[in-house]
Amino acid sequence: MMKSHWHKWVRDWSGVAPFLVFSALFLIFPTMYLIVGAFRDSHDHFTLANFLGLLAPEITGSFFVSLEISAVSAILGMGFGFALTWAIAFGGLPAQLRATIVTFCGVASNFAGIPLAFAFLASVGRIGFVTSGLRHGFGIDIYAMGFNLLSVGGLIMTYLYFQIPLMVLIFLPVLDGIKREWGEAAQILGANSWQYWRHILFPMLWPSVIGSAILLFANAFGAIATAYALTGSSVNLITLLLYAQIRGDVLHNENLGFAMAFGMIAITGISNFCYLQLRSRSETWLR
Amino acid sequence: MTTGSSFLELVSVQKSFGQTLVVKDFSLTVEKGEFISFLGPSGCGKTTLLRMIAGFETTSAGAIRMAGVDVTGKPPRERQIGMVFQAYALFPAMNVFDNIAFGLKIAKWNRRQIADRVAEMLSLTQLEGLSHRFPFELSGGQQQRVALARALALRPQILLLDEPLSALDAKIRVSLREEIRQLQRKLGLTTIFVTHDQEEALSMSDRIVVLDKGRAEQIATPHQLYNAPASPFIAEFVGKLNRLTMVRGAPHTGELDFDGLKVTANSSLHGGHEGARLIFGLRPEAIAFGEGPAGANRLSAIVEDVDFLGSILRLKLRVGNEILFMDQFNNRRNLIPERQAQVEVYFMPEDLMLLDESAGTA
Repeated sequence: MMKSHWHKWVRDWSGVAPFLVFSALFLIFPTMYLIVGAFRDSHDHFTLANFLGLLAPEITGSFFVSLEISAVSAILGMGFGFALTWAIAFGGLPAQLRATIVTFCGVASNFAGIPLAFAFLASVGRIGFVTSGLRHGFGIDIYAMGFNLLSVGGLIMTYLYFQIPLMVLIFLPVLDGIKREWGEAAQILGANSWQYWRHILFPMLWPSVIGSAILLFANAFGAIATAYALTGSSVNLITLLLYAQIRGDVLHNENLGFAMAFGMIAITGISNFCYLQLRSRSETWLR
Repeated sequence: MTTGSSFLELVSVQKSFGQTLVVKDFSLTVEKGEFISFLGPSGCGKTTLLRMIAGFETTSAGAIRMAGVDVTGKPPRERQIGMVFQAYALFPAMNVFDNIAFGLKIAKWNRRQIADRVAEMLSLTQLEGLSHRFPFELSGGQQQRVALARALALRPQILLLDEPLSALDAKIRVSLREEIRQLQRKLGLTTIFVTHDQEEALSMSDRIVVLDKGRAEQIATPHQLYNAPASPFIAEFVGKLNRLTMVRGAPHTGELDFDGLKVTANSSLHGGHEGARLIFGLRPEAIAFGEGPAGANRLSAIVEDVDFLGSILRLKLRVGNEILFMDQFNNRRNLIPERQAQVEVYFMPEDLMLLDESAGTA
């Protein structure tokens, strides 16, 4: 009896054990390490100085730039992604096109870092083929008009490459959950399209829309590889500053870096908490 | 319940999707307060017809009139119809009160009027105390009651029920269908009910429209439909039926040969050509144990199987090379025959229903 109980226990937990070990080694322990480190100085004594250090203009500035880029790319990603998802779900497109778009979104939402930066440099960089094509073919010089890929605006545009597809992937199941009968029930009860949107769809969809936008925000906030590959250090992002702090090429204060990471964890943690709350609210209605 | 005035008229209504004609030249007159069921197999066009009455589908030809007014081209919101959907279709982000009040708010009723009407509907559908619950907090039966209350709140001229019971479990289905029927009678509401469940249709309806391949096969009361089906399709679709192949003997006597046994049919079936092969239908409950009264057709049969269906025993009998099903009420005093037992059974000539006269000659 004891033996069979033990066998069952081993069988039940053996599948999930590698994941738990992996999470402990590369997520939980490092997080605990940096949280503890955020409260210590270089001599391993307790201090709050690292958090006071976060108030330095350079660090608060980088937090603001990161928040700005994340928020703007999340809002734009949400808007364009919502429109695209709606078109896929209700636009009457051929089933094959829907499958193609969804597959593309699956790939594009994970396409980031150096390949993405290179793709944008090759297309809308100063000598990119789109830039050159516009200049030579239509006499339009986008750089002379103020566009700069290696800027906050350029970074937001690049982020949209993975933000919009991510929105599609998160939001398509929500729209697929909308039942045709809701619209018909509303119609037969006297509602017009606006009233259907206003009273039924909007209250049902807003938690998912806002939740998705928050997830896009967290996704952009933690991004580093694309920004680093594209702009080096010309855009003052918190992730790039943190990287510099920890790597220690120029600035080396590891514990200040831990405090910065702590701040980032707090922001992404709150974002994810809000996303999960909103998602569970929406799922309760749509189940 | 009928009051004798035509209220809903469908005149030569047709519907095609592309090249496929799914509803063919359908005409029906429904009286005020009547409960009509559309019954038929999947794909027979019953839901399409209902959706045309609701205004969700356009008609390809023909006209729909309600209380004498042509509503053929009118949108659903202008038809004064209430509808209950198969999957409830409650608005998930609204509680019970708001679901029922939705149509009233759209119609711009004031708060007091809305509260009064919702309370009335909650009482009518026995949902008191649940007004603050959300749909996900309700059982299937409760959700369907909310859907019914929502559909009735605006006092529609016609109530459309699109398979409203099919998502519910058997016991709730039976109790809710009784409630729906009582409510419909109480309100005197003209009702169209779509179902593929013949028991529901037979138990609830004033009249039933049996549809097959987009066409009305028969429009009749449940009693007429079951006992005098207008076609072999209806005879076999409604209720269980034995199909018996017989060969006509002397035409003037109505004598038939059933696998070597002599049986007689009703006098209305006399005549025709001797030796013609005929297909008859016989309901399982028309067969009984014993010798029966004078004139009964008596058969000797072997019991192949006995199915216990609760209130009914269904026996599978072998008569020569033919199989017959026989239904008997379950009664403690009745002995259940053993398998392979030989039994004597009978049926009356008038219970034979001629299904097909063109099955050739023997």
